[in-house]
Amino acid sequence: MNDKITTPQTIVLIITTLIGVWITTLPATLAEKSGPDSWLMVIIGGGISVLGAAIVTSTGRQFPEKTFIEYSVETLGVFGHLFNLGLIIYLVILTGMVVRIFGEVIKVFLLDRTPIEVIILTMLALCVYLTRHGIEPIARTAEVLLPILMLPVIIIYLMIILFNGDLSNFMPFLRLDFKEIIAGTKATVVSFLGFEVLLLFIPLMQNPHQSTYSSFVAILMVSILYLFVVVTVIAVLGIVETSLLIWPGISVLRMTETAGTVFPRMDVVILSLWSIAGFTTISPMLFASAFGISRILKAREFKSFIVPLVPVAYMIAMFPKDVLEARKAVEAVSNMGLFYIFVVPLLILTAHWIRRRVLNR
Amino acid sequence: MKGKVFILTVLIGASIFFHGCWNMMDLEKKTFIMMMGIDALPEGQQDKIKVTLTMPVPRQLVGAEGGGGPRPETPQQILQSTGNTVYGTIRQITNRLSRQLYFEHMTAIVIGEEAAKGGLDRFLDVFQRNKDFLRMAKLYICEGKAEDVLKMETEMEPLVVTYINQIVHFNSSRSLRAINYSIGKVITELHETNGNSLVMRIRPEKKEAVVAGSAVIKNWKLVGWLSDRETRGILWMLKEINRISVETSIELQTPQKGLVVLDLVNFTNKTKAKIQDGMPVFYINMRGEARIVEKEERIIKKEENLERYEKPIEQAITKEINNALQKVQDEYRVDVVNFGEHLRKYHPDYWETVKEKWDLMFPHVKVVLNVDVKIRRQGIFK
Repeated sequence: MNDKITTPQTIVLIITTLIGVWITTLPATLAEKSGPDSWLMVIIGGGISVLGAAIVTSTGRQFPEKTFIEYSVETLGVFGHLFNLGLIIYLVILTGMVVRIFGEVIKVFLLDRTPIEVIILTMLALCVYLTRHGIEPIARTAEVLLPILMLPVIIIYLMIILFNGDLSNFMPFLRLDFKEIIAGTKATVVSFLGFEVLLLFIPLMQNPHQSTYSSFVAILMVSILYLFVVVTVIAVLGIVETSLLIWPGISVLRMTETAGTVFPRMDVVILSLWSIAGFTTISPMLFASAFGISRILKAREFKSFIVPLVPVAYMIAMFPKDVLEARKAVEAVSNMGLFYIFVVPLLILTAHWIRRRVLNR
Repeated sequence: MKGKVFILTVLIGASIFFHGCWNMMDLEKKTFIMMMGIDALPEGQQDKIKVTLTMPVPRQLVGAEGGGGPRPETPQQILQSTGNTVYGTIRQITNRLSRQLYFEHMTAIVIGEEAAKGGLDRFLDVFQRNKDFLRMAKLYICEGKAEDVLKMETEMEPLVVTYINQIVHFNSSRSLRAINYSIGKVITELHETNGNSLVMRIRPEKKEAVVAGSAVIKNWKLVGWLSDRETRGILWMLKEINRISVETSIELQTPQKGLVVLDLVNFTNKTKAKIQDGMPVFYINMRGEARIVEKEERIIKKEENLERYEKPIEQAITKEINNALQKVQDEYRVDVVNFGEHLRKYHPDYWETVKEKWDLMFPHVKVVLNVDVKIRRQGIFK
């Protein structure tokens, strides 16, 4: 109970952080941007995310005792402070957006007369309760919830694709120009965002040297799940219809018939899992934000920073005026995430290398 | 320790027994709408529509003796109103209702002929935009007025909706004369082809309805009908046939006088397209099995040569398909057999060049049919 997480716990934690609100919107984004080759984009996007995770974790492994907050200052000096501030802002904004999209789905499909403010605040309150206890309970919760989350999703989508899927929806094969590949890949990489919490979590691992391995396994699992969901949705609905729906991952459950006669209305099951998916995504992010702030301020405890973050995250969540604007905001924020995955760690590595080799320090 | 166990028990118990009922709605405060009909209003008010809803009257459904008020005992109640839009009209109906309308069990939507001729696009949006409406509900287009279907007094089933949905359920898998499209499927089809699809046809009579054949939708508007035989001709070509084992009977004139009836099962089709001189030619290969179910011939043979029926039945199927094709190609000029989709999927380069003028090209597309039927069984009599 030293508030450190084991390697399997890290894997599970990353998986549950990644599987979040994107699972329902990813098919639509991909169908719109890259048409029948969407499944390929998931694979490429997963590959690029693995690359990003490799960059993030190999930077972190250079400083196994320190978080991004400390080693960025150590290597980049003043710019490090700027990057730290940016990272915290990014994490808080992402938390807010995730909780908003979570709330939108709950409001549209389940609680249509509950104010979205209530949904968002309850979810944040629940996450505060968990995150106050530190990283280990979060990881343990993830361990418990992961099978509950994954098994029904796999079984339900498998039934749908077996009875209603038409794989010819993925023809014609490979007819993308370079631009579309970039757009599609980016859409996938965005839905893998969340593993940049590793920037902060590596010193919390019992064995920081296995961080690269853990993130590889986690991203591989998530890629398989995403691939499976994207293939199912597009095989059942077709490219055009998928791109027209806002939440195709859930809508597909409402229009299938064959499996529906055995278990009608399977969307209810998925929607109850939706809270789990949202919960396990928001908690680590909220924790990462509070933990980051505590490290910036060199405070001994992170707990006192969680509650003040809630109103901030809530305001950010309520800022976009509708779903489409929220999704646009997410895309804008995600550029920042890509920056922190691909650019900043490389800068740090270079600076670190220069300091060690050239300046001999 | 004991205190903790107690608290845990209380918490688990509370989460089991007191979970989210805070905006509880009593069942009897809700009206479960089973079916919806949409009609156009007569001359002079074309842009208005009439929406008809049916709700079951549970008391009558159970069939309790001695119950019932002064009203005639129909198991369903009709609600009607006129308005400009579907949802707007539904909201007007609520003005006269003491209960809340609940649509999640609505499994059939009927659109009247005149309304469909004016265009489906203005009615269908509400069903795809709101999660209250089931996308697996069946969509019918009615010959005549939709309200006649809803007001029908069926004898076989207490509720009209169960009656017509059951017809479709059996018809589509047994006799292959109705095109079993849910509203979600129709909407998908319309989006993919930009407004061309087939929809189930329903024809109400006094006490029963005929669900067979299909309505041809071109450019979101109803342009005509396909008879049940023509619908089957189209269904042979569609991919849907691959998935279900088809059992349909076909009557055959044999060389000797008299008809033979055959059941067809396990039909599969493979479509290939080739581009010849700038025009696509579709090669459709079909294979299937048949069994004899009735024979009018008086000659009883000790050793029946089943193969002698194979050629005629292949010809019969080919003829049926050709008739249907002729109708959609020459009369309606609308691609409801997904040839355009096939080109888009398997000949994307070619499709890019023709997709603008596909509507004009489709009537001239050649189709080469190759039907292969094996007769495996003749029943339990020689």
